[in-house]
Amino acid sequence: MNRINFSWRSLLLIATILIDGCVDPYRPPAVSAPNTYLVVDGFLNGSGVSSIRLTRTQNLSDGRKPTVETKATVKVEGEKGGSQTFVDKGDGTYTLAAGGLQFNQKYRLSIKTAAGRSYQSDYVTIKQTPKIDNVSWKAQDQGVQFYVTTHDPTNNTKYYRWEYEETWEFYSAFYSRVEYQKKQFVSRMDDVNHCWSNGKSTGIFIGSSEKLTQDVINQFPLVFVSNTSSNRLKVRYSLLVKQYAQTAESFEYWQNLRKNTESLGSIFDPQPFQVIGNLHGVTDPNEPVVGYLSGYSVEEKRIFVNASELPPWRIPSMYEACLPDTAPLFRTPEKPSAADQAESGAIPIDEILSPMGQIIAYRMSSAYCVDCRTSGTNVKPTFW
Amino acid sequence: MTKFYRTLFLLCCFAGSLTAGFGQQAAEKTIRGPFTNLSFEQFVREVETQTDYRFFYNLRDVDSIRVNYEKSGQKLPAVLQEVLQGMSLYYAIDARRQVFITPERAIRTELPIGFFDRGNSTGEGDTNVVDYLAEKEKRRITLETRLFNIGRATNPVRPGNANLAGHIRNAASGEPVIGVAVYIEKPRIGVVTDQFGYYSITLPRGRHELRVRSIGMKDTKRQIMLYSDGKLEIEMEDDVIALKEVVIEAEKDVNVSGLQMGLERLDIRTLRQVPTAFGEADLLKVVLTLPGVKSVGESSVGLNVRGGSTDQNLILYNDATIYNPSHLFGFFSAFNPDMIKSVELYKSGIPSRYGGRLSSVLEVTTRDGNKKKLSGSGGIGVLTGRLTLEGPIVKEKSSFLIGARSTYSDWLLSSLKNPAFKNSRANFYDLNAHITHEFNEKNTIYLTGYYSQDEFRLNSDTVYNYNNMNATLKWKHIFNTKLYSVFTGTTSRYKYSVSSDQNPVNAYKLTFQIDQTTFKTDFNYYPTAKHTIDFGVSSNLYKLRPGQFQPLGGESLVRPDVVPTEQALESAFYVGDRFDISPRFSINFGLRYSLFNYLGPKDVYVYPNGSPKTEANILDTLSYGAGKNIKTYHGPEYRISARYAFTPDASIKVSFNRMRQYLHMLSNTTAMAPTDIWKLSDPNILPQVGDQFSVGLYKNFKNNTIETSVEGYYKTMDNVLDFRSGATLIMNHHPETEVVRAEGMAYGVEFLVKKITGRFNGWLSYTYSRTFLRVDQSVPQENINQGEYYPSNFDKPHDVTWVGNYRINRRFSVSLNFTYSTGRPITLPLAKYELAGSPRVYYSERNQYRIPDYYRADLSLNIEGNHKVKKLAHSSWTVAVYNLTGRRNAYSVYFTSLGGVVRGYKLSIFGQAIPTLTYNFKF
Repeated sequence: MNRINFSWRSLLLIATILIDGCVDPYRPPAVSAPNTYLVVDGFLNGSGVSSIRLTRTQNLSDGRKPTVETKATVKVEGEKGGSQTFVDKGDGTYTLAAGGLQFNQKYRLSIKTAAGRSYQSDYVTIKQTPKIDNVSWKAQDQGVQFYVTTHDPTNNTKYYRWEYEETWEFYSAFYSRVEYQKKQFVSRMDDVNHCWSNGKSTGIFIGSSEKLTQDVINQFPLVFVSNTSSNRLKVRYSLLVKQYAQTAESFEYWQNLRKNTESLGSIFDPQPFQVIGNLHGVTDPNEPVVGYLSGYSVEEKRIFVNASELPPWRIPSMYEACLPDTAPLFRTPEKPSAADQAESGAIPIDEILSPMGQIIAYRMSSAYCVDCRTSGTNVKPTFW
Repeated sequence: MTKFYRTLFLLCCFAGSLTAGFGQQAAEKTIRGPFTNLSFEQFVREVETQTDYRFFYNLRDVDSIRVNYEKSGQKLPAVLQEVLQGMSLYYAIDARRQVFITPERAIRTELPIGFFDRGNSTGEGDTNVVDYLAEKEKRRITLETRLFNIGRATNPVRPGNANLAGHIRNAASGEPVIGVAVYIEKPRIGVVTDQFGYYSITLPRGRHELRVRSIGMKDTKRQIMLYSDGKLEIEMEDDVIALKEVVIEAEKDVNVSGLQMGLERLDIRTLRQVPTAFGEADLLKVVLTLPGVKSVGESSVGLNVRGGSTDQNLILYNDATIYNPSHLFGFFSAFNPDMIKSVELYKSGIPSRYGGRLSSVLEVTTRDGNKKKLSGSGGIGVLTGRLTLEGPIVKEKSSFLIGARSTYSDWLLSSLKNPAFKNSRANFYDLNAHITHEFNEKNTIYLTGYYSQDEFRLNSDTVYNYNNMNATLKWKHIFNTKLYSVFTGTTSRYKYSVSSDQNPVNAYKLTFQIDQTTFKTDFNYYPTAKHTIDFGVSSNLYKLRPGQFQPLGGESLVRPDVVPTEQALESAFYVGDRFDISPRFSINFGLRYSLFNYLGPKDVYVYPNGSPKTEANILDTLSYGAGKNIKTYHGPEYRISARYAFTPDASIKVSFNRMRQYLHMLSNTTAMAPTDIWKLSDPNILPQVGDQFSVGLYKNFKNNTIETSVEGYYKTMDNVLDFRSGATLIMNHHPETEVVRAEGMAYGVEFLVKKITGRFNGWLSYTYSRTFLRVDQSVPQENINQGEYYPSNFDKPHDVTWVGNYRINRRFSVSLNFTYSTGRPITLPLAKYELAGSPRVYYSERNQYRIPDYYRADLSLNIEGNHKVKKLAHSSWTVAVYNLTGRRNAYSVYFTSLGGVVRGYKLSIFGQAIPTLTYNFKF
C-alpha cells in the first residue's frame, strides 16, 4: 500500500531531461534545537536478549558520534505487575536476559537518567513473529535484487519490518607471505589475503498485507546489490534477513519515519513533520522523546549467492588500482629501503631473490592492497 | 466639358426627384389604413396584400420602427413619406413596383445617364480603384456619423428614460466581444458587455453619441436618437497596429468607473505575450503573475489566491467545473490557448451568482468561432503541437470551433538512451469543441465539450492516468431589451487511476472519480438606469467514488476495497442589485443563500464530542438509505460592494463577501497532485466559511492609459482542513480521522501599476501578504505547533512581478518578465540522531523556516510574418528564453539519510536558462 502513496521524486527524472532540473547540496541556515533530546533505540525481545540503546540528539553540524546516555536505570514493567531491570553495559546499551518476557503480554519501559529525569513508554504487546518462508534473489541488469517472502497462517501479523546483515568474501590484491615485525622481515603466519566484510541495513524496510485477503508477503524487495559499485558479488555473498512483527501503530511510526527521512524530494511528497513515538517524559510531559518501543520475537533466514550462479558480469575487485613496488633491501639513491618503506606503512608481499638465491628486495604495496583486514576480517564467520 | 455639366445637371434632377419620391411611376392604387403600432414587417405584409408592390429592405434597418398611420386612402409614396419621416430611411419605387427601403439615401432605380460611357467620365463618383483600407474606413465613418433612430419615433421626444440593448461583435469573425465599455458622456452613463457581448443601457430619451471602447479593438461610436426601448447591434474592428501613429486610447477606465473590485481580466492577447517555459501561451502561468495569486512552486498548477488553499478556487471552463487544470505534472495548463477568448479572476467582491469556493473564481471563456468564414490556427512548440479549426455552419447564424492539442514527450523519452528515461512515459492530449447557434435574435444556444487525458509512468511499473470530461449546454433567451436569461446545464467528471502489474500477487488498480451535474438559471434585468439586477437559482449534484482498490489479473491476491460512494446536492439562489445612486456613488447588494444536503446511501461514523476523531474512538455507525438526507448545512452568503468616485479618474471601492464551501480537497502534499482526493462535507467534516473585507483605491493617469491601484484585504477562514502528521488519505474509509479543523487568517496589500495600451505596455505589481493557520482543539496532542498560528505552505510575504511588452515595429515585439518572491515556509530538521542503524533527523515545528527566495526573468521575441492581406497562412515565430539568468531557484529543500549520512538537498526544476522556439500559424 505504501507504494501507492504518491512518490513524485521521479518527477525529477522528467525534469532532468525535459528541462534540465537539478539537485544541489543545500546547507540550511544555522538552525539548532534548543536542547538535546533522549533517543531510545531498541525493542523488547520475546525470544532472546532485549537490548536498548540510549543516546542524545545532536545538532546537524555536529560531526561527532552521538553522545550516549550512561548510568541510567532502565526497567521493564508488566501490565500485570512485575518489574525487571536492564543491565547497564556502560556504552549506552542496556540489556535484559532472555526469558523474562511473555508473548501477548503487555509491558512498558521506564527510564530514569543519571540527571534524575524520568521517561516512560506506553504499554506494548509482545508479538510473535512468523517464520520467514524464503529469501530469494534475482539477477537484474545492474545487480542482484533480494526479496523476502513470508506469511502468517493465523492472519494475525499483517505488519512486518525487516533488517538485514550482509557478509561477503573477498581477496586483497596480493597474497603476502612476508610480514615486517619488530624491524625484521619474517614469514607471515596468518592469511591476510582472504577476508570477509559485512554491513548492516540502514534503510527502513516495512511491508504490510493489510490490503490482501491473506496475510502473505510475496517477494518484498529488500536490498539491491550493485554489480559495479562494490566487490560484494565478486566471490560469495550472504544475506541474513531479520523479520520483526509489528503492530499497526509501530508500523505507522516506521512508515512516518521513512516518509520523513527517505522519501522527501519534490513538493508532491508529503511535508516533513515531527514523528511522535510512544515514549513520553514523565518529569516534563512536554519534553519530546525520540523512538518507538515495540515488543516482538526475531526470525532470521540466511541465504548465499556464489559468483558462479551469477551472469558473466565483470564485478570489480576494488583493487584495480593496486600495483606492487620493488623495494631494495638496501637504500639506493632512487628508492628507500624495504625496511624504511615498511616503517612508513607499506606491507611486504614476497621476496625477490638474486640468481644466487639471495634476498635482494621485497615486493611491497599499500596496506589497503595487501592486508584485507583493512576492509574486513580474516576470521571466517561461523556460518560460512 | 459639356458632357460633364450635362451629367451633373441630370444627376441633380435625379436626386431631386428621388427625395420627392417616385410616385409618378406608380399606379394610382391607394392604401387602406389605419395602422396602429405595427412593426415595419407587419406593415409591409399589409401593404403587399392590398397592392402589388413588393418590398425590399434589410430587417436590421427597420427593426426599431413602429408604424402608426391614421389616414386611409392615401397613395403609397405619401404613406411611406410619413412613416419613414425622421428615420433616416429612404424609399425608392421602380417601374416594376418594387419598393426599396434603404438607410441614408434612396437607391437609383435607373442607371444614370452616361453609365455606358464610363471611359470618358470624369465625374466625382467615378473612382474605379478603391483602396481596401480606405473602403473599410469609409464604412466605419458612415456608421459613426449616421443617425440611428431607436424605438418608435415621437415628436417631440418624450421625457424620461428608455433602454437600449444589443450585442457588440467583432466585425471580422462575428464573435461577441466581452468587456466592452458602452457609454455616453453627458450625463455619464455606461455599461460593460457581459460574456455574450450583450449590453443593456438605460439612457435619457433623445440624441446621444454612444461611445464603444474596448482594449485591442478600434474605438467606435454611434449617433443615436433614442425614442423608446430598442436594439442596436454594433460591430467593432480589430485594432490593426499602426506603425506611424501612437494611438492614445482614452476612457478605458473600467477599473475606476466599474463597481467590481478584485477582478482581473486577461484576454488572449495578454496571455500570448507572456513568455513560458515551453513556448506555448499558458493561461494559468499568466494568472500567476497577477497580484494576490501565488503558487507553492514552479510548474505547480495549484493557485493560492489571497492566502486561500488550492481547493478554494472555482475554475470554470464555459461554466463547467474543472477539477484538475493541469497537464504533465503542471508544466502545461489544461486549456488550449487557441480556444480561449478571455479569463476572469475574481479575488474579492465576488458576484452573488458564483459560489461554492472560498477564495476565488477563475472563469475561462472560449471563443465562439468565426461566423463568417472558415479559418484555423495552430502551433508547434518544443513539446506540444496544437490545431484549431473554426467556421460558420450556417453563415452569420451558427459557428463551430474545435481544437486538439497533444504532446510528443513520449517519443522524446523513448528516444533517450538512459533506461530510466526509456522506461518512463508521459503523454497528454486535450480535445475541445464548441458550437454556437443563433436561432433568432432572441434565442441562442451554446454547446461546449471538453476532454483531457494524461497518462504517465516514471521509471516504474506504476501507471498514473487522469482525465477531465466536461460538457456545457447554454441557452440564452432575450425576453426584451431589459430582461434576458441564461439556462445552463453542465456535467463535469474528473477521474484518475493508479495501477501496477509488475508483481502479479500485488497487482492492483486504484480509481477515484467525481461527477458533478449542474443546472442553473440566471436572469439579468435592467429595470431603470440606476438598477441592474441579476438573480437566479442553481443546483449541483455531486457523486463521488472516493476510491476503489481492485486486484489486477488472475493471480492477484489484492483484496478488493471500495470506499463507499457519497453524494450530495448543493443548491443556491441569489439576487444582486447594482444601484447607481449617483454617477459618483454606486452600491451592489448581493445575497446568495446556499443549501447543502449530504445524501445516502452511506454509513456514517459517530465520534464522541470533545475527543479526537480517531479510528479507536468510533462510537457508532449510522446507516442511511439511498437518497436519504443525512445532514443539511445552509447559510447566507453576503456580497456587498460600493464605489465612490472622487473625480472621473479616481475612486475608492470597498467590498465584503462571505463564501461557503462544501467540497474539500484532501491532500497532504505541498503542491496539488493529480491523486488528490475530493471530499464532500458530511456530519464529521463541516463546510468551510470564509469572510473577506477589502478596500481599494484606484487612480488613472494620462487619459486613463496608466492605471494604478492599491487593494488591501483581510480574510478569515473557518473549518479549513489541515492534516495530522503522516496522514494517509488514499483509500481511507474515514478521512475525518486524518484531518484536523484549522482556522485561517490572511491579510495583504496589493499595489499595481498597469499600462495596457500603446507600444509599450505591461504591469508592475507588488504584494505584501501573510497567511496563517491555527489548529487549537480541546485535545492537546491534536494541536499543531501548540495551537499557535503558523504560516501556511504558501505564505510568501513579498512578491514583485513585472510583465512588460514593447512593440518595436509591426513585425517585432519583445516581452520581458521578472518575478521575485519570498521563499515558501518549510519545516526544517533541527537535530540528528541514530535509530535502527542509521542517522535520522528531528524536525522543527511546522513551517518555521523558509526556502531561499525566488526570482526569475524571462524574455521572448515575437516575429510576425509579413502583413500581406492575401496569403495562404499568417504565421508567427516566438523565440523565448525562460529563466534568463539560469538561477537555480529552490523548488524544495529536503533532507535524506541514505547510506547512513544525513544530507540536505535543494531541488530546482529549472537548472538553467531554457530557450524555446514556437511556430504559430493561422489560416
